Amino acid sequence: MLDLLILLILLAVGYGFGSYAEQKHYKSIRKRERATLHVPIITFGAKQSMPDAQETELFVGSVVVASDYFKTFALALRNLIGGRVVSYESLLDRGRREALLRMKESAIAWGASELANVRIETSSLSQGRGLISIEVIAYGTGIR
Amino acid sequence: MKYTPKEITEEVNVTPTHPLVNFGYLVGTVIVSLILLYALMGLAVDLVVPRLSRETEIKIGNALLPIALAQFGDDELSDDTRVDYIESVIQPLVGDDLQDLPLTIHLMDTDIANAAIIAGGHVFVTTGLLEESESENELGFILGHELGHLASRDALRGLGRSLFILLGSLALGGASSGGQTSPLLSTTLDLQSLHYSRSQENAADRYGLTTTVQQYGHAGYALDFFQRNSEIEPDFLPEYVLTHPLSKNRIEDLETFATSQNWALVGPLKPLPENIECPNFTCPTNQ
Amino acid sequence: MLTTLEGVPGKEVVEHYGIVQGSTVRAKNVGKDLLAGLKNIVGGELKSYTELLQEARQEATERMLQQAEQIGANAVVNVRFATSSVAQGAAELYVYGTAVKVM
Repeated sequence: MLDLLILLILLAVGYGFGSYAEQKHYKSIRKRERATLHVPIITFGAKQSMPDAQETELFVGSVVVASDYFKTFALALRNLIGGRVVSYESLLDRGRREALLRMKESAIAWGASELANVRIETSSLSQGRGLISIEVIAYGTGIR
Repeated sequence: MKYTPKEITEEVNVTPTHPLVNFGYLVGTVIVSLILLYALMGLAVDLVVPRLSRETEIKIGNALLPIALAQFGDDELSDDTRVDYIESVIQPLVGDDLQDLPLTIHLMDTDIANAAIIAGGHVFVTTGLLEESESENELGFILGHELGHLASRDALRGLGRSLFILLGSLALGGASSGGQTSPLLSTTLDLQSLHYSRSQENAADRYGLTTTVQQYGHAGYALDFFQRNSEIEPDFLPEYVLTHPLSKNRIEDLETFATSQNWALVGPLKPLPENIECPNFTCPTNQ
Repeated sequence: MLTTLEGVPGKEVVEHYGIVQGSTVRAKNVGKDLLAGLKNIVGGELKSYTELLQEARQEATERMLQQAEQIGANAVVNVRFATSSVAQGAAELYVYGTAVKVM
């Protein structure tokens, strides 16, 4: 009985704080995406003639996002049934956009007019069943 | 090639289901499938239990023995002459249906009055029960009742869903290798939580009374244990909250049954041997 | 139109709109896990997993195309796929590329 109560409390806390943080994060992501929209990021540029540029520089943006208890529990249930893990899609989406934004923002601060040949990698830092967190790294060449 | 900044406004990478709705669906599906699985296992138990061979039953019993002993306090009095006495009481009660199952008596040293039987013919009797019993008729009925459970394999049914784990580990030879019980078993099988349904209890009661009457010629004194119990049992509680049927109701049921069989409800009392409460029937003399 | 090249052969990229991406996270179920456990003894292709991941990758691609369509592109060039294991039993299928207009 007590175990169940603790579980419910953890779920409620996980859901409450998790979804609040997620909404706040999405709000900030959208705002910053709009603000940095004028600088193009492209995934090609390796085998083309180089655009006229004075300088180039490597830019990396990375972020580690952790799952909350609610999401982890939903995943555990989902593992029994199989199918789309809805709760984790937003986690990854957030991580990816955040990493891209960090790369872009540091490039803009440097004065880049374009980011070419951008690559994105995702890796999991999860250990067994406990802590679940994901690292997303985005990197590309800034052109000035 | 020119660049046109365009904002992506659609959130295609996140399924638009509300997380709580999705969670509700997950919990619901898992619970429903668990219930289905549980019901299926229950059906399978009823199919499998009557078909188990005696050898399998004995194997299961041997695998369970260490757990059962531990739950009775692990204090077995194996060299006590009272074990022989109990054996002499129970053997005549064994019907034809149980002739091929050797009984093993385990006398447990604990104050709690209790008797139990597990698969494979392991009978547990506590010293507390011996102290509390007032006649051999009464003790015989209690043992007969336990034999009733054994005959209808209630213990195996009670193990129910865990039975499959047990059978599986027996098949893999892991359950009793080197006398060691796998930790899996001891966590899945809790004999304390093993209780029988009302109809199983009533059937065992009738079985016990039948064998007692066959042995002693009457049903007198057999129900004394229930009689004493009914005096201390609270009668304001509805029966369905209790794990066992109320003793009062059991006495009523058995008396009706005895009357319908034309059995004598009274008869001579067969006393217990003297000093049954002491080891080897010898009490310290300074008492 | 999807290519893994820098552009679309025979056509000219006239306009580009930035990165588009699609992703999905999938979990396998207990039944498949059991079968896979057995299969791990003998080895060989895990057909059910191959199909599961193919289907998921298809979904990720469709999501990326939805994004490209929304911003008015008619091709996605330099497409890259990535699969990563997010947690035990859950895999993420991710695809990204640059949305362009070709003539």
